[in-house]
Amino acid sequence: MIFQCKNCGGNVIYSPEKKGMYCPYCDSMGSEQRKDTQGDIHICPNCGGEVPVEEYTSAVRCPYCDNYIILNERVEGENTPDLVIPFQYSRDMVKKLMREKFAKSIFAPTDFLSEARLNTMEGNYVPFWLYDYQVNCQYRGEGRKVRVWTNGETEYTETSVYDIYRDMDIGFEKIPADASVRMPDEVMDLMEPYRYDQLQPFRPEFLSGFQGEKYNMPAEQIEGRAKGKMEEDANQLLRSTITGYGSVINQSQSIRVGEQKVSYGLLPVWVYSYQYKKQDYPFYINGQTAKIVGKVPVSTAKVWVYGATLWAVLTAMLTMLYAILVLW
Amino acid sequence: MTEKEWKSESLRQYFKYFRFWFLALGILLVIFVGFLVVRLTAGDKERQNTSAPEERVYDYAEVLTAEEEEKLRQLIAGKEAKIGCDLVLVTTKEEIGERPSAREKVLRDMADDFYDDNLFGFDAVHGSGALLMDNWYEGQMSTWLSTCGAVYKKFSSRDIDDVLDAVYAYIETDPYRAYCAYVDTVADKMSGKGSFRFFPILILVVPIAAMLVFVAGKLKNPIGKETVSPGTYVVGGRPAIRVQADQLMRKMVTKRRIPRVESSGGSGGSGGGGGHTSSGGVSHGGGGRSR
Repeated sequence: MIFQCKNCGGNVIYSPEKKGMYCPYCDSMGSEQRKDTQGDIHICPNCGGEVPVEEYTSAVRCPYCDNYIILNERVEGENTPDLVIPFQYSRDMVKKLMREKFAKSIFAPTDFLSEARLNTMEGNYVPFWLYDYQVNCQYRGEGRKVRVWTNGETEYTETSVYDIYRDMDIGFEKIPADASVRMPDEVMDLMEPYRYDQLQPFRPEFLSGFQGEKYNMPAEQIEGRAKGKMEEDANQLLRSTITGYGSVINQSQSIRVGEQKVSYGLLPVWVYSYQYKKQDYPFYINGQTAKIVGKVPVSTAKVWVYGATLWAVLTAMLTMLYAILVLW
Repeated sequence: MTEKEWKSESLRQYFKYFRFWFLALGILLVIFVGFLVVRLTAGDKERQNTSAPEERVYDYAEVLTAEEEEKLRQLIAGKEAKIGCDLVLVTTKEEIGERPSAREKVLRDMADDFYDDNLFGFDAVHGSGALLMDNWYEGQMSTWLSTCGAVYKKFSSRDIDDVLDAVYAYIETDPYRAYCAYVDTVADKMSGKGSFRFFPILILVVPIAAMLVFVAGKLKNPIGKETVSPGTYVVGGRPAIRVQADQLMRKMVTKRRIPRVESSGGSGGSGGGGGHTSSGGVSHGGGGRSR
């Protein structure tokens, strides 16, 4: 499908700044008209150009006419996302943020923040499975408190031994695990957290103006990641209630999962791919919170030149200072 | 951006980054050059006291050769002009008592009297100066450093210990070297050099450490920080606690006797910078040691 402007026929896109459908050609708001397309998904229904559609692509930009095409069968039926967080940051807003954050990165290549390079940044809706768990945690252990005091020439040591028991219910809501092979898991974990108060029921309009993927694997396949996060968090929450002891010996611990649910959501991520000295430096920016994850390319030679300058200046200053103090 | 523009931009960034460092370096350079000019144009300190004898080395115990005595005189003459203090060496071979503490007192009085009687003092009679009296009598070998005037005011007990340490490092094996160490150490301390003896090492270590920390910090380049806490995905932000029980099961008390720490005796042997008045009524400081 394509969203076309009723007024001018241009491609209407979702604008994070205006929080609605916007036609960049005639500046009109809410003028979108859904145009369902049929036929070869690799052909742009607007201009007939070849579109780079891959196995899981659900939304794509035509490289010839810049229209955003949403593939119906990949956002409908069993592929319909339950939820979506629409992009809150536009490309221009992210460009500004990148420039602010890396303004002082003097060791980065000069064109790292150039307009031309930053314009290659693409907004992506990344498929996530969101897991809900209702768990019960129980813990038993032995804690020791030691108190030492002296009276005259005698030192007293009092050791108190406690039986520690905890029983708690924890409701975990929407622990995310990305269902995209293209997106590195460790990076997607660093993108978190998303603010779920902005989750909305899915509407294909949100995809217009961005790239998108449908889930690459079923929820069961990657549930281990979410469960791992849940167990780690439950364990830490449990331990946070055990305080005031000098030492604790664990005796038993159980984390039982009761009710569980999974939903399919699309979460917004801007991707900026930068190449420096034949190496890729991908940057991922949370499209909702603008959290930036990525390694800035650094010129090692430049760092050493600066380091050597610092060494030379300090040596000269200390030598002169020493000479002055000695000759004083 | 062309290659030329890129280089020019890099150079601009470089100077902007180090502008405060270069500014501080420039200011220090100006101060340094100014100080050097003042220092080089200024002459040695002028002697005020003409009543004292010219001799500074009195080797009554005859532990030095004539050549060593002469070299020592030259060394003292050079240092005296720089620091504005008389530096006197006296070696004796006198019977001064069996007990170390008693003979240090005898030696102290002898040193003070020698200084006073010979009217030493660079800036005035009984003015600034130091006198090292070293007794070589078998079984009663002791040393006393007597200070007066500016040296007395400046030297703490630790300074006197430092001078005696320098002397005693060589006194048994090479008396000439030990007396040179006395002259050098007193002169260094009076000129302030002694306070900066660790400075040369700092000049090497600090800049290298700063450079390594800087380079390591810039090359570290982390990918991003984790911003999820254990309560992020918990409904309501916290768990619902059904039971939280901490029940005391048992309590044990053990006791032990603390061994009494006996206080140690005096360190002995070391000198002190405490002042006293000589029989001639002149204020002196100093300290001594026996061997």
